[in-house]
Amino acid sequence: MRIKNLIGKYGVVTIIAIILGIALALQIKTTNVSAYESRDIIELQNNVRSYAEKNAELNERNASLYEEIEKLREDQAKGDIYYEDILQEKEKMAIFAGLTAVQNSGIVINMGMTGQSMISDSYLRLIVNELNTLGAQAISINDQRKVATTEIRATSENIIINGVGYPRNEDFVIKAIINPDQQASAIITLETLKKSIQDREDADHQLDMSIAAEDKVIIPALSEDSIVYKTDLLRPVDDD
Amino acid sequence: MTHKYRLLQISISLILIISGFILARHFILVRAELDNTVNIAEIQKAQQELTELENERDKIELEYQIMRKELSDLWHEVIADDETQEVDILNSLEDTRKKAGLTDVKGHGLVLTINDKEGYDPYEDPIESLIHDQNIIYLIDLLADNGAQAISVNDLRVVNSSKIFCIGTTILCNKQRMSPPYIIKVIGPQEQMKIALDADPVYSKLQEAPYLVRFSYQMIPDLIIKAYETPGTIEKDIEFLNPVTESIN
Repeated sequence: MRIKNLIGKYGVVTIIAIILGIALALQIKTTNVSAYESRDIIELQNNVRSYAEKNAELNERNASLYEEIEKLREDQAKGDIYYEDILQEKEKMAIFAGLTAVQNSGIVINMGMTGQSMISDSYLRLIVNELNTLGAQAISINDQRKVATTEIRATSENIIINGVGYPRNEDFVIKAIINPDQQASAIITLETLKKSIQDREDADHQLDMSIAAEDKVIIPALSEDSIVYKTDLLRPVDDD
Repeated sequence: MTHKYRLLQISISLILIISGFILARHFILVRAELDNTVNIAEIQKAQQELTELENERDKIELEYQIMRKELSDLWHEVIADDETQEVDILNSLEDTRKKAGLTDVKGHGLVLTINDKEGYDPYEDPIESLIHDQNIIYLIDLLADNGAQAISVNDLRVVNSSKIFCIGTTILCNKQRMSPPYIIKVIGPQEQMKIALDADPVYSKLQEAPYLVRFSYQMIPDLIIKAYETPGTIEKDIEFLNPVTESIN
C-alpha cells in the first residue's frame, strides 16, 4: 500500500517533469526557427515594385525606338529622308550631355566661409547633390557645368572642378535650373541643409551662404575637348 | 508526514505553474512561427516575381540593343557616302551619345564592391557602418578626379541626370532602388585609380574598427559598362533647359 502510494505520488511528479521537458525542448526548437523580419519582406516587395516600374519605362523606350525605325523605313521607301530628325536628335543629346548652354529661371547660391577659413569640398558636394535630388536639370559651379564625370575635389589651396582650380578661401557660386513650380520648396530644403552644416561648425569657422531664386539663370556649356569628356579609353562593345 | 505531504503539494504546484508558463509561451511562439511561415511564403513569392522581372529586363535590354544597331545601320544605309555633311552629323550624333553615356562601352577598369558591416546591429554599431548615398557619391567623385570616363553603380549608368540618394534603408540611383552590396564599375586609367583608392583616407578609416565597412576592388581588363537604361526619359530630364541662343560673354 505504501509502495502504491509512493508510486502514485512520484509518478505524477515524473509525468509532469516529462511534459515539462518536452515543452522546453519544443520551445528551444521553436526559437531556433529562422524568422524573416517584416523589414526584409517590405524591402523585397519595394524592389519588385521598383523593377516592374523600370521595366515598364524600358518597354516604352523600346516602343519609341521601334516607331523611329519604322518611320525611317517608310521615309526610305518613299525616298523622302528628313535629316532634320538627326539634327533635332543631336541638339537634344547635346543639351543632355551638357554641350549646349542653357537658360531658365533657377536658384543661385553663393557660398564661402567667414574669416580666414577655407571651404570644404564636402560642403560643395552636399549642396550639389541636394540640388540633384531636388530635380535640378543643369548645375554649374563657378560657371563650370556639372556633368557625370565632373570632380569636386579639394587640394590644400584649391577646389578642382572639371580640371580647373578655384581658391578655397574665395566664394563659390552654384547655379541650378530647376522646375519653377518647385523652386520655393527647394529653397526651404536648402536653407535647412545650410542650417545643419552651420550647426556642425564652431562660431569662428562658419559657412556663409545665400540662396535666391532668379528669373534668368544661364548655365554655360562645357567644351567638347574638356578633360571630363575624354573618351579615349572607351571602346564600343561590338568592336571585336 | 503532513509536513512531507505539504512539501510535495508545494513542489507540484510550483512545477505546474512553471509548466503552465512554458506551455503558454510555447503556444505564443508556435503562433509566431505560423506567421513566419506566411512571411516565408510571401518572400518566396516576391523572390520569384523578382527573378521573372530580371529575366524580362534582360530580354528588353537585348531587344533594345538589336533595334539600336538596326537604326544606326539604317541611317548609314539611307545616307549616301558622298553626302559628307549628313555623314558628319551622324558621326557627331554618335559621339555625343557616347559622351552622354547612352552607349555601351568597354575598356580596362575597376570593379569596386562596397557593403555594410557584416551583421550590422543598429543598437551596437555606429551609423557609419552602413553605406549611405554620400559614401557612393564620394567614391564616384574620387574616381572622376582620377580620370574615370564611364561609371555605373549596380549596373545603372551614372549620367548627367543621375540622382543618388537614400530612401530609408535603400539607395536610389536613376530612380531604381539598390540594395547592398553596391558594385561600382569604372573604366579609366586603372593604375591611377588604384593608387587613389589605396591612398584614400576616408575608406581606409571606414574599413577599420568600429566601422568595419566591407570594401574591395578588382582590376578588370575589357570591362563592359552598360548604357544609360532609360533614354526615353531624356525629354523629361531636360524639360526646363532652353538652349541659349545669344552669345554669352
